[in-house]
Amino acid sequence: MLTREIMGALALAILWVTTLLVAGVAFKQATSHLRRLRSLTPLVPGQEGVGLLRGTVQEGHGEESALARYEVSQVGRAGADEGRRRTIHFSDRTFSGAVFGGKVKVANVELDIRAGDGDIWPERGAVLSEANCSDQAQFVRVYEEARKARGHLRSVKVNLKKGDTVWVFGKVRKEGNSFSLGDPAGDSILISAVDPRAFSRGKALFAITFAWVELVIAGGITFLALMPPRFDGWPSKVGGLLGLAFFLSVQPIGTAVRDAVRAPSRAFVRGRWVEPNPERDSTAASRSAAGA
Amino acid sequence: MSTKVAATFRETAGGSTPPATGRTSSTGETWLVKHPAEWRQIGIIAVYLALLFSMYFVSYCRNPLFFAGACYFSFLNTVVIHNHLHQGIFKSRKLNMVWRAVLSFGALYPASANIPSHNLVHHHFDDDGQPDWAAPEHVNFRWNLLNLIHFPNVAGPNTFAGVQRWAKLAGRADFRRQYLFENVFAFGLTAALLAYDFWNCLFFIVLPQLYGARCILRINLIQHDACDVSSEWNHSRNFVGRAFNWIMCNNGYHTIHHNRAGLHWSVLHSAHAKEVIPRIDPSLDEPSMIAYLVKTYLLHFARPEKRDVAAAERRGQSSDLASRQVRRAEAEEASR
Repeated sequence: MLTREIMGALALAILWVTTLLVAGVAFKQATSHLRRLRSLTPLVPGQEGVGLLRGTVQEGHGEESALARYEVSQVGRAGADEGRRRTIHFSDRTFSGAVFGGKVKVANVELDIRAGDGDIWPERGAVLSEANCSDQAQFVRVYEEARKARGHLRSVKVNLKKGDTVWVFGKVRKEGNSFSLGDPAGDSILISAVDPRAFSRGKALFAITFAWVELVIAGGITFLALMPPRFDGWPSKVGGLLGLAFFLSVQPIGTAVRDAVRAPSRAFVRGRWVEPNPERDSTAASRSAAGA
Repeated sequence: MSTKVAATFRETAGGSTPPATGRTSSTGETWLVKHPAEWRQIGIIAVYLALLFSMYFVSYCRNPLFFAGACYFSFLNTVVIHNHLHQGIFKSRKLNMVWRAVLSFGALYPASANIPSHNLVHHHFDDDGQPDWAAPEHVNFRWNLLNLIHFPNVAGPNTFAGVQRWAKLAGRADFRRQYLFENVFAFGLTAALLAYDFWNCLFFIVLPQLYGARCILRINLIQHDACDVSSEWNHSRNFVGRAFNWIMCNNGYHTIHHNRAGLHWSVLHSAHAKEVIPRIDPSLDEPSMIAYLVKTYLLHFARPEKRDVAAAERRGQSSDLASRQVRRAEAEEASR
């Protein structure tokens, strides 16, 4: 016979295996950020070696004097109406980055950066602002394509351009009187609009906090479920119910944490446009219909 | 899909699966169901529900045999969800929708989630630029057994978040209504059973429900890890044991199912023999799933290396298979 004690032990074992795996993944993510943090050693201007420098873009060889560009390609599809407003939902397809080359001034030293591949970290606010709908006319234009089977394909691009403050990571080399930044061994250069050390530290802390909080909650639920009369009384029953709720919710929360600690170059953008001014559009449409 | 090939297999289906006595009329018309083989699926669900409720109500039935049986049949319940969401079992649309709710209770997730997550996304892998919600790459422990155990913890949330996003698009109002109905039925009935007898429901209803739901997610890892999803015929691993495929309603033949999703499950064995075997790397045709699981996850620590399995199809004969783009467009059209 399968007694309540046997089945309770089985249920708690399942709960704990899941809890430990979710926590393990969070610790792995934290470790990966901490490893990055260790590699991002700050350099002083004029110092050679692999490390991180903060400076200002002096010159960029891309469009609008861009030193580098972050890009996410998206597809937009017509969504269900919200009240009288139409909507468009965007999903991400691919993330990419390009270094156009240029110069970054670090204190009084100029750092030469060549065109090539690189990891480009934009500011989140700049990406969201670039992905926003500017006006009703733009919405109507995009919606026409978004309602078709293929959807509306677009690229959200953020340039790191002349005058911007950037953090650059790579191998600094002195070549005559000037300095250049190249790929560090086994990695590509990083050009970031946010402080990568603060970012990595914050994300590592977040993932570790989540993992410990998750373990403490699972411990509390286990304690409650095992309170006498075990698998019979109310405290134990509440523990069982909380255990089920915890089991069902810890998995989506774990994946949400995973998504939240993605590097800025790979963070999901997605997004939704709600029609800004449907009245104006319908007035314009009726006017154009009357004119026709 | 080639109409000629599809028609050939439909004829084979009629020939290889004789109508069951008492279930068809004298004209060969089946009663209630579209295909006589569907009675096997209905039987599986009847056995599963009988196992669940006998354990819930009868203390004598709360034994390892019934529990293990309920867990296995819960997995089969999700196999039936898979088949039913490709081709409804019943002639009546209304009955098909009600059946989805019954199956949803068995798996504790809304069966209709399979339309976006399986039929539209999984069948086309990462063709739209983003990984399949249940792609093997979502787990990356060095100890491969942990990947197998952890996989549903990632693929499940990816799937349901993806379904929520898909359901918000225009023209999905019917889907949203049905999805809500299945959720209310599955979780409502489970909640009622929990309220009536909490521990017996948790142990003998909910645990088997969750076992099946997690197993069907794991199947994505088992069937595609170390395969080449960019290839036409070597993207999937098949499990070709005859007894296994009888109870699994031919769900072991995964390659042909991906490529010709419109084929009825009862004809997949012959279609596999005709179309897949000449083009697949023999290592992707496993005789036994249990042997494969033991070999891959217990006897080896590390994840298997990827090989160029697609070389087999480059050497094999050409096929009239429609392009993936065309197949995806057909699937999207069918989902409307």
